[in-house]
Amino acid sequence: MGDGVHVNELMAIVLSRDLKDYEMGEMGAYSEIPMAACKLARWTHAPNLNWWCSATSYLNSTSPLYHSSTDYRNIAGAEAVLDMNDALFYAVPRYDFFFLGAIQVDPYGNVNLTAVGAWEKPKLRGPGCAALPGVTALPIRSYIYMNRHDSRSFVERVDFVSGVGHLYGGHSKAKAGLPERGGPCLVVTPLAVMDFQDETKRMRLNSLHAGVALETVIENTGFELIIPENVPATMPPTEEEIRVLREKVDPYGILREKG
Amino acid sequence: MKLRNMPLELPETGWLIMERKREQKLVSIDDALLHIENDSFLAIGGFMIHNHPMGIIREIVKENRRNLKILPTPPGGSIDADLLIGCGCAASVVASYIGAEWLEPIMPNYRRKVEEGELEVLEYDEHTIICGLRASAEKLPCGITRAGLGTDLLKVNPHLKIFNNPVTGEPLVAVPPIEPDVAIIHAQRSDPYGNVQHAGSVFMDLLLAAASKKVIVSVDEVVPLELTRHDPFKTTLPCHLVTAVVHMPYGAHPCSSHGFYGYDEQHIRDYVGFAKRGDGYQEYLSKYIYNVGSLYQYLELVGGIRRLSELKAC
Repeated sequence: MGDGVHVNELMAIVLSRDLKDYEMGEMGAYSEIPMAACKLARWTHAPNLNWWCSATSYLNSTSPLYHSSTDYRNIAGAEAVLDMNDALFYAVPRYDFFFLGAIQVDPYGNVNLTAVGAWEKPKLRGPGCAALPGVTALPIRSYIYMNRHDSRSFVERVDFVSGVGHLYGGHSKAKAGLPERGGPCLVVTPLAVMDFQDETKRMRLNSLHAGVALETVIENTGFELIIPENVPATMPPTEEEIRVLREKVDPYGILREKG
Repeated sequence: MKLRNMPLELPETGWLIMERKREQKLVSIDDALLHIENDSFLAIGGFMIHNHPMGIIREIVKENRRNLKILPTPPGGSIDADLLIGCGCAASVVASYIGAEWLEPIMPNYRRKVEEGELEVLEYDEHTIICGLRASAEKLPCGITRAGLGTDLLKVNPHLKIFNNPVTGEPLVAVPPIEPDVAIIHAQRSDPYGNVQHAGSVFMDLLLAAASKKVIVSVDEVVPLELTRHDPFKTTLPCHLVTAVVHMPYGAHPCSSHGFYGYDEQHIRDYVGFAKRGDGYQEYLSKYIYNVGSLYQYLELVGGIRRLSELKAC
């Protein structure tokens, strides 16, 4: 980004703004951006936000940001630690939101982390379903953050549904035995922010990051994105957000490391 | 690790008395390995790049156990599973995730063998594995969850079955018990009788131990039973869940041992480099496993006390 703000920092700030005081949420392993978002929210507008890192299951750590959210050093600065089995019982059913990343995402926010191509003989074997089938079956909202925004990752239909988004719109979720409440609310990428249209449950452009052309987003999205008449620019980070992020949340500059 | 402000009042007599004929569970690595046979269903404790029983895994590779079904416990495994896959010990995996976070999001041998159709994958997610482990621990015929509804997980895993529950009629997923033959776990401390202490996160080790037929734990330190009894709050795996304990200092290397030492980032990066090179992988196996006589020789090879002490500060 031209103004010296790394795109990872911008994504963390955008996510952070949407988190509400007094809510509780979680992120999984390898979750630098969502963890920075939660930490930043607690330092700014949401001091009563509770967040669990479900991998390792610790609560509200004030440690500096590390690459690994399972790193032992995160625990120094946490308020509680559970094992994962207990977390599934005592914490997970009480979440208001969670974050997820994916190899592929479709217009309804269904995500794939398992396999590209046929599952039996994949072109790309992914790391696995992780916790996606479990957490996307909860009646809570999710934030999708994608490190890439291109037509290979934003596809009309994911090759494998690891995590359910709005499924296929309409009442398809209820038919599958899933709660209709919740589901993906925002998709944040290096190019833009997307949300989902109420009626169709399909992905809609919400804002463009500074310096990104509308055509770039359209070209790099492998399905028809709903484009509203007026597409605002993503609100740029404030000086305060940048200061708190770099001084309190990420003093080691983990978010600024990657190109 | 844990601060206790409750003073422990010890009984005046008797607390140090050891039951005379009690059998120790502390065994050599060779004896521990007798529990792990070809064709076993082997579960691995710890997760990602933390608390994996790497010392035990290197011995399994060296002894060339074949046709193992392995379960890297949720949220997932990394170099632990990838080693067993890469050297051909594992024929199938039960897994929700095999990656090393920012170091390598998908482990190379796992990826290659699945893409080439050489490895059977029993697809699960964290919730369904935990559900199956709970069912095994509780001796129930199945666990129930919503995890998987609406996803393709249910299409590719025939063991997971949808049923309409008799209370509300809604669909739910039944998960059969997941009962590993042997769980191998790394923790920081144990007494000779198998009361194990974790100095950091317990991860899923307690549930895994309760769900498995046999449990082998490698520990960085062996301490006297008196120390266990001095503060039994610290016991994370009670002895009745543990089959055998092996003393393996730095036995999690190159993974971290939560609370004792950090992961060896450079070694894991080197491993990934070797694993991606196909032929180069044999070089790694020869250097760090096949031609290594003992754990202590391995520890010298990876940098000795100097390097290992540095990892303490990570």
